[in-house]
Amino acid sequence: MSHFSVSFSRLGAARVLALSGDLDAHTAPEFEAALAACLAEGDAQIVADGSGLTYVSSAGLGVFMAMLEPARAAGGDVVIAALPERVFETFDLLGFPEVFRFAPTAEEAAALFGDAPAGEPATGAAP
Amino acid sequence: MPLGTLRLAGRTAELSRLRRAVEAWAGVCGLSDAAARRLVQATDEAAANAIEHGMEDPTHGRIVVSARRDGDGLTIHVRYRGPRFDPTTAPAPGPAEALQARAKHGYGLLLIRRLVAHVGYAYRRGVNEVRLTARRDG
Repeated sequence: MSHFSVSFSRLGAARVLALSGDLDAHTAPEFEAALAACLAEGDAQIVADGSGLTYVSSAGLGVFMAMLEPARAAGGDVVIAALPERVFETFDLLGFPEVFRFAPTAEEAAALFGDAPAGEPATGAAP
Repeated sequence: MPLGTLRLAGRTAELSRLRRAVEAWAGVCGLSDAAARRLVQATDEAAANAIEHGMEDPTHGRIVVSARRDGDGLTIHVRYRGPRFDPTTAPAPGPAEALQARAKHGYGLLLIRRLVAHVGYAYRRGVNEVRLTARRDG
């Protein structure tokens, strides 16, 4: 069975979700529930720390995409941080950097919330 | 030359086992790391599609995945019983359209079509067969 986990922390005003393991069709619902819980608790400034991710499938990509507009509509954003190169390739293959902001580290991702107007996608640094 | 066969239950929990098997077959065939990674992902997407949308009976049915050395590469065959579904022609939004629409679904087909050197399809007696071919240096 796929190993996957999400842990929560804060960096400034941002809620950080640290993702670990394989984000696939089996584990994507867990990630979706975690993002939905953040939004339900009023945390719309979200950093997805992908430094521990080993794989992402289309199901995982779909969760990122589905949660983007709800986060922006609530005045926040979902910023993706610290993706390993091999995982970033999948995001890149489908053009996700055109829509999402990416940052090299979770700290730099959290700092973006202070730099860019919420709700507006901005160009971020790819890993 | 056949390399191996894996039979999976119609549950997404089986997908990690599938990925490990394809990775091992790719290693036996001498695929580059990049080619292996892409083939693993394409196979995972094809099997996930079958489990979530395609299988006639996910509870009792099986997905049969087999690997065959194919010239300078490796072909993975994904077979399951269900309504005809051809991933080579099924409508799917382009990446730009999907991104514009903030679509939650539809990326699997896009990935399958982009990740491997060749995608083939056949439908015989109620069984879908998706063939995914990676070249050694692809």
